Amino acid sequence: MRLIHLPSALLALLSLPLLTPATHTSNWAVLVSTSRFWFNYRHLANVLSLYRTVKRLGIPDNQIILMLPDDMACNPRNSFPGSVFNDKSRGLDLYDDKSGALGGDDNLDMGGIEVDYRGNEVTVENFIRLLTDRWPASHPHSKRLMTGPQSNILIYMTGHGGNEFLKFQDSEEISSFDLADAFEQMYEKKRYHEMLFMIDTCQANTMYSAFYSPGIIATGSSAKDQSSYSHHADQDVGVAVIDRWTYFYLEFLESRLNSTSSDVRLGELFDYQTFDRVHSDAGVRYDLIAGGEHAARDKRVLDFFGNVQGVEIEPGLRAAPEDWKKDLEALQKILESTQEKLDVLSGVDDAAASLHAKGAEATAATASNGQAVSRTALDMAHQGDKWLKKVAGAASLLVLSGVWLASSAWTKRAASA
Amino acid sequence: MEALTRVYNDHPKTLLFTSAAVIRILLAIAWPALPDLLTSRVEISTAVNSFKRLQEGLFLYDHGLDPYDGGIFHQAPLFLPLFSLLPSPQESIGRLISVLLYTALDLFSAELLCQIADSGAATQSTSYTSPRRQRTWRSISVVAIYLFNPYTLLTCLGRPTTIFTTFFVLLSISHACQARMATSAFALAVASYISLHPAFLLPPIGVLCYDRVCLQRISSSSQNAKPTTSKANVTIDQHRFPSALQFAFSMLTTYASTTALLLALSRLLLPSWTFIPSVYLTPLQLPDLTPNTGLWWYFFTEMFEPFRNFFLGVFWLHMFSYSIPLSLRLRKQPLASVVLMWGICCVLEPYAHIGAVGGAGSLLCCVGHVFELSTAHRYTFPALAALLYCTLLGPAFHHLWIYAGSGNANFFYAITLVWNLGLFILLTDTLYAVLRDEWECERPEGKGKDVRQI
Amino acid sequence: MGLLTRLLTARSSPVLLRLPPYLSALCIIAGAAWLLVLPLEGNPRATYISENAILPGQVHTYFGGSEHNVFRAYRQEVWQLSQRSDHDRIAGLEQILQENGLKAAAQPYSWQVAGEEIAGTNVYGLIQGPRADATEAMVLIAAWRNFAGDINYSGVALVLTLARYLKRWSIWSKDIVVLIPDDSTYGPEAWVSAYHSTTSTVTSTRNITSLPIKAGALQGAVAIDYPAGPWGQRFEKIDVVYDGINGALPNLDLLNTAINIANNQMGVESTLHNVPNHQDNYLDRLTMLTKGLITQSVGHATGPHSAFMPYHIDAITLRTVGDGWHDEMTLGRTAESMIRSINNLLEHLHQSFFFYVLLGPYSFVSIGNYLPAAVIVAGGLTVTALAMWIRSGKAAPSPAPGKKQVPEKLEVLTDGDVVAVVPKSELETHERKMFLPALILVGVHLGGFVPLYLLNNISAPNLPLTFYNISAVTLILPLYLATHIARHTSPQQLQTLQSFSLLLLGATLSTLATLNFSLAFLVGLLCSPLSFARPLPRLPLLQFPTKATPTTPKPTTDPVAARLAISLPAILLYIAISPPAVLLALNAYFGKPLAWTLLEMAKGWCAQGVWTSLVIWAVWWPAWVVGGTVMLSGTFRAA
Repeated sequence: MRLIHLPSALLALLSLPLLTPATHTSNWAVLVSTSRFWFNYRHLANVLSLYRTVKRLGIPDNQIILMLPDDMACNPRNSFPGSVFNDKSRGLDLYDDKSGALGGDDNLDMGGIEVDYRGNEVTVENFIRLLTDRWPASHPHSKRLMTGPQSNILIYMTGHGGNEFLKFQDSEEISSFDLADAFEQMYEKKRYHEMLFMIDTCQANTMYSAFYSPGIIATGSSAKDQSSYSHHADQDVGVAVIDRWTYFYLEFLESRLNSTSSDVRLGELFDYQTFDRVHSDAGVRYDLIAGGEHAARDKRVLDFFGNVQGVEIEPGLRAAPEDWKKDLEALQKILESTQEKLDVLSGVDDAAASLHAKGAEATAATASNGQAVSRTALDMAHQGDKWLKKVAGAASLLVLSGVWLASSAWTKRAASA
Repeated sequence: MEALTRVYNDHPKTLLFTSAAVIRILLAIAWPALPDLLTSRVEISTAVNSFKRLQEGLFLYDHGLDPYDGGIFHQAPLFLPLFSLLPSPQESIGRLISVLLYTALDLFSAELLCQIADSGAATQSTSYTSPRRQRTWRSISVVAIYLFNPYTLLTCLGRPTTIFTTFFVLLSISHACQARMATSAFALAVASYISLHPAFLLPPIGVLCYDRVCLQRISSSSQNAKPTTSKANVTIDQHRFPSALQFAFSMLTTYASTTALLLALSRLLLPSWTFIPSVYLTPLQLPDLTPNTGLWWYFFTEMFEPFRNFFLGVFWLHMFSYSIPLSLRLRKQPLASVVLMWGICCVLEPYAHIGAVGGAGSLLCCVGHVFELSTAHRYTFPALAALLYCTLLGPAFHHLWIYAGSGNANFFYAITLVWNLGLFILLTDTLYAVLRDEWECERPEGKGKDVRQI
Repeated sequence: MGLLTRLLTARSSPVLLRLPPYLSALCIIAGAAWLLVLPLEGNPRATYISENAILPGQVHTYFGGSEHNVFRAYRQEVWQLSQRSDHDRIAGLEQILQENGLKAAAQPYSWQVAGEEIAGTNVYGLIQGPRADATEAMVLIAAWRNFAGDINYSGVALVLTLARYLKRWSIWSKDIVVLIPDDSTYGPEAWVSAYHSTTSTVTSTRNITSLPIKAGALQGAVAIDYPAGPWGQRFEKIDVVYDGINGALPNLDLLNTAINIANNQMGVESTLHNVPNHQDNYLDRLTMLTKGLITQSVGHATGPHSAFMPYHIDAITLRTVGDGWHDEMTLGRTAESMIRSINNLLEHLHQSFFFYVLLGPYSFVSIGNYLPAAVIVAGGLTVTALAMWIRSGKAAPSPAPGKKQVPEKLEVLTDGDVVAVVPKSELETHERKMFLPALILVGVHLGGFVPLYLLNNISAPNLPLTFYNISAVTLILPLYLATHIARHTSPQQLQTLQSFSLLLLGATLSTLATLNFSLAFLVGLLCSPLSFARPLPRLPLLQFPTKATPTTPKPTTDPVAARLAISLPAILLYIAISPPAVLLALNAYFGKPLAWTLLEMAKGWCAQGVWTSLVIWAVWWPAWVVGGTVMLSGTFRAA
């Protein structure tokens, strides 16, 4: 199989930089679960399964943004503490960070789970900020989607949704239009090369109907007015552990993409989601990608699920060696001057600090004395204060009634006059 | 029975006052837990009048702390010296004394109502005499309604400080009816010092007081000049009236200086000015959204933050917007405008409660001579039936929502909506009746006919 | 506004004025028919689990195997404990709980009701979830004596076994309280009230010890009633008992969970109200509806779970029925699965299914569909009240002085219709005379508290006698009021009196309908004839000689026989719907001794806060007395 394809693949590799220089040089994945609570165990398992798969296929952790609103492994209801499974055979612990515990090989070594957004951080606002990269300067790089025009992005979302919306944690929702506009903004900012958008929720296909930015392949688990179903429940965990659509994605990816060089096309992947398997009409949208359905179906699965480490060198930026020497000298100068300044400053500081310390002690002492005095005075005042206060209060009330009497007397006189 | 009838015929007021006091005190003695239970009811106690919160403020005050620091106490500072003189209401003696104080206040209010009803201000003004004069309710009926209606009764036991507001408002009205401008303004200033919204009564009470002053001039002059009073006098003696502008100015001055005095006295008792935001911004900004019988709380729980201030302004403006138009339109029957304005305030105030309704409802009976019009042509009986239903359903739905957990906030809110609708129907019907009374005087041929919208 | 104006004009139309009696009759018939229509095909909805979190029956239950041996041992142990003194038994149960690693404690309680003492001691233990945050808890109950009064041998043994078994799991998000109250009614009441109070004050009638051990907020409770003796007995079905005190119901989801688990996961048939072989046809649904209606309207406890409802804790009892082939392990697994489901909850069951009428294990009617029945009945009363009010205005004899007469129908109405704002305290005597009616109404309503007080405070042996005396007084009272009021009142005042009374009754019943639908509906039906009470034709035979004034016979006088023919059935019907008569009839129907019923009512009122007595004596009774007064006033009226 592979041998037959090899020449054509090689040819493609050779010709690609020439014909379409804008191929991708990095792969990113945004994996989002939008629901919390124990009975939504399966959504977390969905996302963790995908996480594990893209990691297996080579996308490094710093290029995966994982959004998990809840922690199933540590939920007290979990009968397997510290573990999350996506199958009732419980052969694979999605949360396991050690290899071989269940007799697996080194491939199972996940190196832990890096959750970028968790708990209450999983919000619509954060998700959109993540996509459009609008963050305050202080936002850590590890939590940002640092993509450029050469990046392919895989976006996977799962949760509870409906016609053109997806709920985020039972408190808010994102609409298909929000999503479409966010993608448009990404496109305008040249934040992606191509994007595969996957969503597993009820009426999922409605979520991508509003997209209008080029370069997106979108696929969902069910058509409008259809539910997406869970695949099976684990009777010991007590909840459904995975959704059907995601289950069959995983089945395909696990069985067909055994190495980082597997040449499997997206068309095959999409075709795998038949109604018999998923129990709902999985949909794909091709029209936004250049070349339409044919081109889209012909793209390699690894273009989105795997990783490339292409480096592009732009000839215009090649700098002359003299330049960096100059730079170094300038830096040296700056360093020296700041060092001098620092020395002078520290000398002054020392002297001042010692002086201050003495004075401060003295004032502190007097202050504490004074406080003690005033404290007792306050206490003494308090003793008599209560009655004094009552008398004062009564007096004020008396004043008021006095004013009242006076005014009423005055009005009477005025009236009689 | 016979003896009772005789006593009733001879000293009806004494009998009423005694029995009212006895009922209140007996209730407090027979069920010692009742006053505290009522104090914690949302229908009676709100953030700005709760007796419980007053205790919190008192505690801080007695311990030399700023009572407004806790963020719980939002009532006028001068209550503190008054209540700190009383024993703690936690014990039975203190509770009884507090009930006694409020009972006394209720009786005083009843006496004021009696004076208002007796003054004849409802049917007689300088420019108008109602054709239904002889239908005026006897003051004793008005007093009985005030003293025995369940809203006043339960509120008295619940001891919210707004009973003082009612008292001072009634004091102000009664003095206005007696043409005593200074004391009327003084009492109104105290009322608005306690609760803020009585300030809206200033225009109608001003008109009422001015009218009474003019009437007094007329009667004194007519007594001097001619033995009989006739309507012709009214127009002739215009020049003898005091200048309206001057009157308004002096009333405002009295009002303002009293307010200044009250605030100054409060400041003397307290360490800082923090009481001003705490007491007056609370009704203005509605930070406490505990449910009550009013219309505000639910609306503002649902309110988006950016619109909050706008709608706060709208709600307050709405309440105020009735004040001046009513006093202008009903200038011929100034007491009616006061009564209606007070009713509107009680429905629309931010922290509404049933005590205000009890007071305003009884005050409404002061214009009882026109009720035959509202019952004949409007919906008085259905509205009263609706109020009865709400009185029973309100607590039931509150129970379902808060305690049983089987209902939700919408149940209770729906009932408060109906409650306020019922009150509004009563108010608009009365307004209709008052205006129609005036209209029938001008056009006697329309008497008894139904109105049709064309 | 146009509509309002039209409404205003419409009320003076003669058709509308004659309509009310028919309208209110229609309301009553419609209300009763409504309930009969509910069980028709298509009306009931199929039950479903609306709470996503609860996941019923999705877990394997592992209660079985060696646990069966443990169970048999405990059953033997329980039997031995039952042979010993109360004190030893309490200590023994506490010890077993402690040996299983639970924190255990005992709580003595006592009430004094009607001269009798209700006393006992609750034993309970706490399983603290190893990974739980201790803010929530669920309760597993087996009362020492079940609701029928038998010793709950297997139930207690099962709960002890379950305690041992559940203790070993580490999957609890909530703590588990294992409660073994002394009896099925007052023990749980004492326990749950102590659980929710911070202090316990001892009064002369109530002495409940506070609890030494507490956990978080209680989210659910499951009680087991399995009184099979020391040698065990297999059972046929599980009866799910759900009614709480004062007609409160647990969340429907909990009930569905129980039925779902029993039927689908365990394969045990489950019933409600012990209706066997529910075929889901009209008659079965109607039977279920009626049984539910009666149980709910009584408002008394129906099992250990009932006491939990007023504290907003959803609770049910699983009661074994019959002789079949299901063994105790099946019941244990059902309980285990229930506990797992409650464990899955995130907070309270919050879906708004607290108001429902069940027509079968799988079909129900929700509040929007059944509430109209009670509201229509109550509305019928209000319609009559309004009609009476208008009529009392129309019948006013003299037009107000100084008003010109206009020969229009409206004018007549207008002239007399002079009104006060708060009628109750209206003291006017020269216009529409409402002082006397209001006084009578208030007096009769206050009078209702006399039987209430007597029946709840007199010692038990004297209760039946007191009841008979009250019945006698009840029957005489309307007669007395009629004879003494007839002299003082005008027909107009009687109409006003009836109007107020019916208005108050209608409002009270509508309110009650939101709290206890069944009670409101039944009282409404029983009171509905009162809205047709009119002064009966005068019977000269019954005229007191003292009042015999020289009467001039009316030209259109009916013969006495005809008057009797009208009066007699009316009076008989009137007596038949009196509260004492209905109580006696119900008592006879259910075949309970009167003394027992009265004592239970007193106990319910004093120890559990059941309002049914209050509704009978302070709502129904006064309305009945006023109705009778109005009706009989005609009989004794001087012509």
